[in-house]
This record gives sequence, structure tokens and C-alpha cells, in this order.
Amino acid sequence: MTDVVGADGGRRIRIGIDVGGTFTDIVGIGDDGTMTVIKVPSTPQTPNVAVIRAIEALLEREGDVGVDFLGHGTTAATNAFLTKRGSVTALLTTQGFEDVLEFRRMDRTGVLDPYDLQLQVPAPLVPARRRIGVAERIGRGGEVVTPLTEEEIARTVRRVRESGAEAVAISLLWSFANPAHEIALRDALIAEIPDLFVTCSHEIDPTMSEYERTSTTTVNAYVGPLINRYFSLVEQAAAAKGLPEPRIMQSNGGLASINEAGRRPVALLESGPAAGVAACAHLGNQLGVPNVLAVDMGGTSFDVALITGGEPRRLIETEVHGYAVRTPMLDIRSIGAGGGSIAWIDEGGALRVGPQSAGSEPGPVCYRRGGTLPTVSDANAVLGYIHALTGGSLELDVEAARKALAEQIGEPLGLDAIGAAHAVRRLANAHMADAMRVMTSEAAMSPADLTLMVYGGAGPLHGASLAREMEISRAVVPAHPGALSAMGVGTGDLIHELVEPIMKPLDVLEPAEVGVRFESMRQRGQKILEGEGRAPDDMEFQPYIVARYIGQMHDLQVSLSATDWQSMDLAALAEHFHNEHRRVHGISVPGEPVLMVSARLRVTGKIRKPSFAGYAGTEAPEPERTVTAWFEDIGSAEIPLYRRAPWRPHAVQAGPAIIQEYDSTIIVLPGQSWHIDEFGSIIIEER
Amino acid sequence: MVDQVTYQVVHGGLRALAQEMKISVMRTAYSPIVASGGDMSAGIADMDGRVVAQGQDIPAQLGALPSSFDAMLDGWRGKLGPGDVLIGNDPYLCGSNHVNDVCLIMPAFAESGEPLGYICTRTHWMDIGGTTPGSFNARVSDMYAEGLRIPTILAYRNYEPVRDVWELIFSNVRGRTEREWDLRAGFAGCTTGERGLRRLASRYGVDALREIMSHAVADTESRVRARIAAVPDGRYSAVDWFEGDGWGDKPVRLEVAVEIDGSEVRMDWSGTDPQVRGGVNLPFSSTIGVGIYALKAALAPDIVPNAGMWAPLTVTAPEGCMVNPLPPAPNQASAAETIQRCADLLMQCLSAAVPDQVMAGTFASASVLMIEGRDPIAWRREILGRERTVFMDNSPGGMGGRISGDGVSGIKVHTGNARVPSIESVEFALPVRALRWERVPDSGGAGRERGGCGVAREWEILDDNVTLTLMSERARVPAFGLFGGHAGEPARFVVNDGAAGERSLPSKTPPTTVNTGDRILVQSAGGGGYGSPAERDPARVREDVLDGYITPEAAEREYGVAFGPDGEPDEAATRALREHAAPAAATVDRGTWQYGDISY
Repeated sequence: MTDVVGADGGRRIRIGIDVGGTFTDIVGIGDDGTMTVIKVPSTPQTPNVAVIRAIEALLEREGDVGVDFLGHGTTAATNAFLTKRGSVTALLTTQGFEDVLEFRRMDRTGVLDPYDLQLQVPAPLVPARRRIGVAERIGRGGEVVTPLTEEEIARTVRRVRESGAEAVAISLLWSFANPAHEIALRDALIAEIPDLFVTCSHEIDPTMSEYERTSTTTVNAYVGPLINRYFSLVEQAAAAKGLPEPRIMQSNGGLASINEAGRRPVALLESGPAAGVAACAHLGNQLGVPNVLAVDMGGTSFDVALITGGEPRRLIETEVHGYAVRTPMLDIRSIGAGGGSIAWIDEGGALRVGPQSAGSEPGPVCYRRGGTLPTVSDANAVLGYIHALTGGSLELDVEAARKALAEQIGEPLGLDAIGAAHAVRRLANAHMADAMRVMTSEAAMSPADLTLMVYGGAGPLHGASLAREMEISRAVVPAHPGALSAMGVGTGDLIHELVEPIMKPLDVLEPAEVGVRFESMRQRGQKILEGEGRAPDDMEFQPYIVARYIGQMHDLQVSLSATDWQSMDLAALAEHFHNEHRRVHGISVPGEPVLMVSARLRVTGKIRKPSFAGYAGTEAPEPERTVTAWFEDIGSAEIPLYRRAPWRPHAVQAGPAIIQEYDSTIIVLPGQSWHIDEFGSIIIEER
Repeated sequence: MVDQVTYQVVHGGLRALAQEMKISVMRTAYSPIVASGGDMSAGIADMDGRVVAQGQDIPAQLGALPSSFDAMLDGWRGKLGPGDVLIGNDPYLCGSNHVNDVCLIMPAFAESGEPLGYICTRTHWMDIGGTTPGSFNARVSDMYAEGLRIPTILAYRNYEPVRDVWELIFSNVRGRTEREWDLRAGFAGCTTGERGLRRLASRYGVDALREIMSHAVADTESRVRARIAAVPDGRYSAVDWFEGDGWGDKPVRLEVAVEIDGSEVRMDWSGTDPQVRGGVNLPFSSTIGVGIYALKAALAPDIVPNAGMWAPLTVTAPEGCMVNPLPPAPNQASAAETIQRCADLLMQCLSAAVPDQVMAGTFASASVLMIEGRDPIAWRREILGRERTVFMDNSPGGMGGRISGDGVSGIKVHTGNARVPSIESVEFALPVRALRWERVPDSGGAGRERGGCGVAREWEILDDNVTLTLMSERARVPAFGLFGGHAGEPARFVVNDGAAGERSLPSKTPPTTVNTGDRILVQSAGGGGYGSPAERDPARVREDVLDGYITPEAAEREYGVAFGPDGEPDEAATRALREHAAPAAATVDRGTWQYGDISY
């Protein structure tokens, strides 16, 4: 396996593709630092069609080039999951525990409002009729309480066959302590039923607490067959064009081979958003800003992530659209605004923005796709901030937007169209800022410590206002903000997460006992990376532990240094835990026993990254023309409109300004200044 | 005069600030129930002590906020300086749900020294002293056995702990280090709130902030009043029976009348039995709180809660009754059990007024099973230097049917929201092994919208001298159905279910000993149905049979649905069955309820 094929000599590029709901973005990154971005409409039913079109369009534009690398961010798993179009799946559980999946965590949090008497719980991905109890039992510590007999295996295989399932999730009690029964069932199913997609809980999430493990395993099985069919289509298409084998972006912000990703599709649910955050982290490290609030605002979404000390914050457990998923992923919060958020007047006569969205169909009024309800995008159009979409592919109907805002929002509030548009935009910005403020306080960060990085089609329109609202002194708009996820896919590393359950206090463990687990993970990780064509020099291993005080229920991740790993000094590990607990929670309880829940290893196959340093020129920015736009401090005025280009770095310009580019528009407010840095990013600061 | 959009922006900011306060408490707290369970609340009040914003808190604590501001600020208004923090937990003196919920109140001042309002945080301490660790035993003599009473006193003066107070409190609770952090967590939430209010005041001005606070309360009040005014005027009353107090199995009468009068709501608990001996009396602040919960859930789930929400509400109850007890009546378990039965009863009243906006009866319980025994893991016994351990297990149950769909099977309802421990974590902690953890078919009341099924959680005991203490409900008084929907199946609490010598336990069981090989079944009650089962689409009945919510026998008996040889509903036979079905009862009458024989 290799990431490099094609023409020898000549120009070489890396390709990143990100499939979004509306557009499929492709970016070609030259070894000279040049970037080519193309957007083609997505084909949601058959996403591979748009992927192939995007590749063809890029290769046509680039001419005779060699392709060193092909990375792919995909929403295929997320979409199958969201639209409930996954496979007919069966679930095998320990007999008597078939309903664990349906019971969930039994409290009302996340998507469930405890005051809502009409709340609807997300339906289990596997209904009871296909949840099959198996007579067997493993107990605490892994001892066999009830053996799994050959007859029971045969009976189970028969019932799976009768269920018509295309995929099977196996999740038995205590399987992480003793996987023998899961393995026996898995092997029998694979041997007896051809083409069945089988996932075992001890492989996908070998940690304690059966609901989370079962849910994660079930999601994996549910999307497995579909995602693998999709991967083989993309793989064939790439091969037919003589391209390298595609690498798939995972929720952890790293890439994986099709083979690895296809085994763990549950780890792909945040593929696209994670790629954008990974790109921000990469760019932040190049810029020398370690603490970044990364904001991705599109037509229907508003995703926020925090990067601290150059590393995106990570979760080992979360809920995705109401389903528990326990797999390492970047901590990305969807706040559900976006340009399509609808503005409306509630029964008390107050203005509201969201949570309903006009989505991409019918979309905002100004998009001319039949939308009649005013949205945040319509407000931006009326204020004179946006004039066309995607390089002029769609001329906006500003008049219709103005009419909708004036009639539906302005009249009830006693405002004209401009006043209504400004009110909508202000309220939308305030909602986003509130949500981000709560998130930074969870991370014990103050906005003053952060740099705001905005991207996505709509992010750069709001970045300057959000920074001002949150009192963040600097906002950064990367080059090609509308295709940053594709950029992240094209510049990512291969990353895999391994876990070994422990569930013993550090005081009781022997160093060798822990060391042997880490060593086993290192060997497994090395093998995976070798399979993906990485040489030992390109491999990095980051060991960490998940632990808690013995009386606690919540876990903490603690990273180990290379020295810790070699010495396996468990007293030092306990010390790290106390320190981290104090850093994160403000307190520590020295002397309290520390329970090591699991040992974990993040293995990274480094891929040479292009610098974005080539994206700069020698000319100072010159406005193309002026346009009429409205700003709070100055009212309606003629504002310089720029067309973004690789300008000369550090030529400081005064706001207000409107800077258009192919896939986004950047707004700089009166009272702010802006300039380009060496990497082609636009930096907006308060004057 | 603040413009409408600025109001919206700052109002949103106040709510986000309450959420930030909550995060700040959870990040600092040590008690698992606060740090990950979120059993806490955070609020911001104006200068009059009226709540203007609160976090997304658990409903059981919603009503306690206004009661605490009223009770604890009494006598302290104008006397508190920056960084002075009041502490209190007494249900009778501080508006608390029970002594475990410890409330802190701090005034907030602008940089200029002008007062802005008050900040409040409340956290559930895992231990507050008393006879048993984290006690959930109803069989106590009085409230002194339930834990330390803290009247309203100063815990911090000018941001510094008041040492005498700390020494007194922490000498009387178990796990001093952890409890000190619980107190610091509450304080951390207060300082976060003060910082946020200062930021808003410096940005928008003190006067604007005060105006926005008043406006927020008035805005909510006018919205809630409009919702109440849309409800037909009338007096809607209901009666039900609570299952004993832990000392005896005598049912306790609960009665309430909800009177809708224009845009006012009155809840009158006259007719409710006098206070009882065991720890299930509901402090009056909780009686108000459950009233606020029912009002919000039925009429205004989407309206931002603040003092305006309860301004139209008046709650009265005779002094010395079960829902307005006098000290020293014990009350600790009422926050888990009595309050839930009161929520159900209020739904029953409101069903006559707003039939589309209520829920049929629920399992109405926290179903707490305290298990105490020898720690099964040697290294843990050694490290912690103790032989025995105690663990609080709890169960979900059946939700009632609603107009929008079936009740959920296996979930928390109304004011309760504790997460249920995983099977593996219980087995990791205790000498027990789970035998099953599953829905109970046919336990949800039949209905056009079926009640949620109760769930069975059965443990095998793996050691001798294991002590069980049970605190639950609805073993004898099932969850009512509405509008022709059937009642749910009652709960069952049985030692050695189905074996010779099986023993049923009452829903409040004081500590009882079991030994190796014994089994304990905790089967929660099913929810009541909503609407007549004869109106349920036969295709939905068929789906329920396939997925085990009901048996084929119940499909025929309760729903009047007959199946053909292909397993699909037989239309003609179904029509015939349904024609002969008895007409459904339209109202629920628990006043003449027969409690039945005692057979423990």
C-alpha cells in the first residue's frame, strides 16, 4: 500500500475531499504551497458520484500532475445513521439483558427535556424482535458463570439467519474482561452466514458499563455494511483514475486506511467536522497560536471546538443525535444555528432566531429556491454583506429578503428592513457567543486567552462580530475558509486509538502488568500503521490513561510522557493524575486512591505536511469597488469590496471592509483592522 | 428604556450565565451525584430576591429556589456585603427539599458597589450526617435522625470561610474532605455568577440590567398568564393514596384541587391526611415546587422559567398535613417519592382541564434499593481500610401515555432524573450478580396510547449478611389511566420470586437481611394508558406483540385485537371483539379506592 502513485517528475499535489450536505469540496495542495479549491453539488443518495465529479474537475484544472495523497472526509456514516437508513441489524446480548439498548441511560438529558411531557425518545436502532438473548454469562473479573454451549451457539446462529439481519452486533456482559464468548459467537456467525457484517463489543469499546458499550457496538454494525459498500465504490473509482488508495478522516481528527475505517465506521460519525478542527490545529501551530476557538458555520450548522496547547480537546464518550457513542473523538459541539436559522416572532411578540432552520431546501428567501421565511442569511444579504454564492454561481434575490424581513420581523417590532436585519443578526450572534462562553468555561479557559478561527461558508461573515461580542482580541480567517475540512483531510495524519481495560487502583497494580498492556498496544498500533505504509520513523505513540478517584463516577484523561512510559512508575502516574485533576477541576485529594479505568494509546503515522507559507503575494490589497452596506456604528455607507487574493503580508487595512472569495465572504467591522499573514490567513483585530 | 433586541441579548446572557454557574459547580464538586449526576441547581435573583434566571436544572429542585430566596434572605436583606455567603439546608427554615440539599446565597455588586441582585447555588451532598450513610430509610424517628440541620448562617464573609461554622458543619458529616469540596463547589458557582453579572452591568449599565431583570420576570408572567387564561375556569380535584411511611402499611390520603380562575391558579391540598411518622412528609417548599413543575410541564414547557412563572400560582395546604408538615416531622425520602406521587396527582387534576397536555399516571418513584454488604473485592477492602460497602441502586419505570404517543418503558419521570447505575458497575461494587434487567410485558396500562412497561431488575446475592433497604412506590396503588386508558401493573418487590418461601416486600422496606443464593426482584410499576385501547390501531398492537410490549393474549383481552393464521390482525374478528368490549370509564375515581389485602 502506498500513498504515492502517478506521474514521476513534474508537479505533485495532495488531494483532500470533504462531502458535505450541500457541496462536495475538493482541494488540491501543490508541493509549492498553491491551493486549488473546487465545489461541486453533493449527490446525497449516491455520494460517490459527486466525489468522482470533484476529482475529475480538479484533475482537469490541474492538468498533468502526480497525486501523492488522497484523503476523504465522509458524511456517509452520519447520514445513514441520521436518516435511519442503516442495515437491518440484529443484537446478541446476554439472556435477560436484551432491553439494555432500549433503556438507554434512563435519565432525561441531552436531546430529552425533562419538562416536556410529550418528549419522544429516539427509537432503538435494533427493535426487540431482533434482539437475541444468548444463554451464557461472564461475571465480574471475567470468570465464566454460565458456559456458552455448542447447542446455544447453533441456536443463536439459526435465529440470526431467521431474523434476516445483514449486520450483527454482539455485546455480552463483562466481555471486556473475558471476550471468549463474543469470539465464539462471532466466529460461528462468520463461518455460517456469508457476507454478514459482525461487530463485537470487546473489539469496538472494551470498557465497563453495558449500555454505552452496546450502543456503540450497535451503531457500528448498523452503518457497517453501507459504509463498506460505499468505500469499495470510492476505492474502485480512485484506482480507475490511477490515484492512491483513499485515506478516510475519522472523528478523532486523524485518517485511516479504508480497511481500518471500514471495521470501525462508528469512529467516522464526525468525519467532516473533525477534519476542519484538525486543520485549525495545524494552522494554529504554524501561526504560533496554541489556544484556538474553532468555529465552523455553514448553511445549517454551527460547530465549535476548542484547541488548547495546540491540541484539540478530545472526548472518549459522547451522545450523537441521542445515541451514546463511546469512541475517542474530537470534542465538537453543534449549537445548531447557521445561516439557515429562521427568524420569527413568538406568541409574546418577541424576536427569536432558530432553532428551526430553512436548511438547504427551501433555504433562505434570497436563495430563490422557494424559501419564504426570513433567515440569518437573508439578514446578511439585506445589510449588504453577501451578494452572490460560490463564486457568483447564484445571484441573490435581496429584494425578496428585504420584503420578508420587513413584513415578518420589522412590522411586529416597529423596525424597517435594515433594523429587522440588524436585530436578527445581533440576536444570532448573541446566541452563538453565549454557547461559546459556556463551552470555554467548561474548559476552564477565558475568552481573553483564545484566538477565534472562523470558517465554513458563513463563519467569516460573523467572525468579526463574534470576536467583539466575546471580547476576543483576534479573529483569524484561514485561506479558503469554505473548504477547510477538505484542507484538513488533505493534510491529516493517520491516527488510531487503542484501549486496554484495567479497572484497578494504581496502588495495587504492578508496573509490569501495566507495561505489558502498553507494549501490546504499541505492537498492535505499529502493525496497523505498517499496513498503512508507514515507516517506523514516521510513527508516534502517545500513551495516556483514563482514571478517577475511587469514589468518583467521572473519568479524567491523563497523558504520559516518554519517560513515564519507560519507567512505568505508578506513583508518578498517581501524581500526574492529582495534578491534572487540580488543573481541570480546581481540586485534588492527595492520598485518595486512584482507580485506573483503562490504558490507552494514540498511534500516529506522520504524513509530511505542506506549509501554507506559499499563499502570499507582493501586492497590497486594493478594493475592487465599493458596495452599499449597513453597519451599526456608521449606518448605511459605501464600503470597499475586495476580492481575496494572495496579497502581501502585513499590509494593515482599516475596517469596515467586505472581502469576497470563491466560497465565502469576510466582514470586517468599523473600528477593526485587518491584514494578511504569511500563511494567507486574514487577521482581524480591534484597533 | 432598553430596546427589545438588547433585552433579548442580555436575557439570553443571564440564562447562559446560570448555565456557566452550573458548570462551575459541577467541575469543582466531589460528590459523584453533583459532578456527573448534576443533582444541583443554580439561579440568579434580582434585588428583591425574585428568580430571574436559572440553569437547566432537575425539576425536583426548581421550586426550592424561590422558597430558599424568600426564607433565607428574610432578616438578611441589606446586611450582606461583597463575598458574604449564606448557607442553609433546613427544609423548614431554608426552603430546602431535604437536608442533603445545601443552599448558598451570595449578593452581587457592580464594580461601583451598587447592588445587582443575588446568586444562589444548591448541591446535593452525598452525606449530611444522621443515622445512616446517605440514608434512604423511611423508618426514622424524627428529622434529627436524618442529618445535620443548618439554619441560615454565614459560611463566607468577604470571600473568606467563616471558620467556626465550617468546623461545626464538617464535624457532623461523613467524609470531611469531600464535603468541604462540595461547599467550595457551591461557592465557585456563586463567584462565577457574580463575575458574569458584573460583566453584564459594566457592558450595558446597572440600570439597564435591573430593567432587563424586571422585564424578564414580567415577560414570563404575561406569557404564563395567557396560557392559564386559555384553560377553562373551574375547580379540578383528585384523590389518591400514598403507600405507607416505612413504619406502617397504612395508606395516606393525598387530595388536591386545582382551581383555574382567569389567569390565576390555586392548588389547595385540603383533604390530605395529617403528617406521618416516617420520613416521607413533603416539606411545604416542595409542595410549592411540585406545583410549579406541574404548571410548567402542562402549560408552559417552552417558556423561560423565572419568578414570573409562579407569580400566578397560589399553593395552600393545612398546617400539619403530609404536604405541609411541622418540625420535627422527618422528610428526607419525600424528595424522591412523595413529590412524584404529588406530580402524578396534579396531572390527574389537570387532565380534566387540559386533556391534551398531560400524562397518565407513572411509576412515580426513584425506586432506590440501598445494598450494604461485604466489599467483594479484596484490594478495595485493603486500600480503603474497610470491610463493608454501601451502594445506592435505583430503577426506572413506566411513563404514562400521552396524546402524542405511548409512555416510554424504563425512564425517569416528572421531578426525578437520576441516572441508573450500569449492571456492571453494581456488580463491580457489591457481592451481587444481575439475573435480568428487562421490560415486563403487559405491565404498561392498555390504551390508545399505551403506558410504558415497568422494568424488572433482579439480583442474586453472592454473600451472607447483605442488607437491603427499599424506598419505592406503587406496589399496591397502580398508575392511573386517562380517558378510558387502563391502569398500569403495580410494582413488585420480592425476595426469591417464584420459589418456595418467596417474600413480598412493602414499597418502604426498612433494612432487611438476605444471604448467599437469595434473590431480590425490583420490578417497577407500569405507566397508565391514555385513551381507550379499543381505539388503538390494530397494526400498532401487532407491532407491540412483535416487540414484546404486550403478549398475544393481552392483545385480544385488553385491546380486542384478533390475529389471523398469518399473524396479521384479523379485521372482522377484531371488529367483533371490540363491539362487545365494555365502554371505557371516562374518569378516574380514586376516592373510593380499595387498598386490598395485606399479604407480605
